[in-house]
Amino acid sequence: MVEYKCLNCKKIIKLEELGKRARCPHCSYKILVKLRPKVVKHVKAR
Amino acid sequence: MITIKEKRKTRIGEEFIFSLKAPISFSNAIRRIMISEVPTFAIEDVYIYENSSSMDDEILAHRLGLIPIKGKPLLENEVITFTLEKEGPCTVYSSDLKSENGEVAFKNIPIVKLGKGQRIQIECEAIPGIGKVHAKWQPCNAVYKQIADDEVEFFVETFGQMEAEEILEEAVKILKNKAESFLQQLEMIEQ
Repeated sequence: MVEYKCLNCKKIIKLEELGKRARCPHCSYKILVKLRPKVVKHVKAR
Repeated sequence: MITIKEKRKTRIGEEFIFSLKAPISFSNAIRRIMISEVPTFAIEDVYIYENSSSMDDEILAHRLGLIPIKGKPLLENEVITFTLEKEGPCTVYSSDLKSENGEVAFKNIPIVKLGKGQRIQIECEAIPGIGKVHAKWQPCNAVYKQIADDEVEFFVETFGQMEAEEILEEAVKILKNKAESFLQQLEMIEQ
């Protein structure tokens, strides 16, 4: 599940809410930051 | 024949000086085995549950991998599990790695600096390995100088995982096993 955070109103927006427009549905701000997915990441220590 | 000359503790491990009366090829074999074939523990698998620090997951994992872990591996599939959970503002040190069956060699190694509200939650697994595969499994550095015909003086600098004498003992065992398996193979060819 991909989530974004609006840098203006700080609300978390899901990709489905966003649709094709890259704008915050709450405040129409254009800068959205993609959030870290909630999965356990496995990394090799090398 | 091995004669122990000096042994002293340093900030990062131990310094060990001994002389070895043997053919140079034998001394070199011992040196190479001590560096790259004596097994030790090191963090290999890192599971990141949360990382909102300024450091990337891969860099963090690499830093964790280089932390020396105490102990001599007895089995090939032995695993030491460490957990790390911390919230900023603070500096995360190697002493924050908690485990039930293992221990880090040094408690004052900085891993990452966390700002206000930044958080890390990590689980890591340390497994046995050898320095030939990756330098994080290297237990010591060893050099020697020739002091007489067929006699060398070794200078061994350990990194905290094991005692220098233990490394030497292990290296001799490995060399013996190699020689035995070589002999067995030669006998098989002859038959």
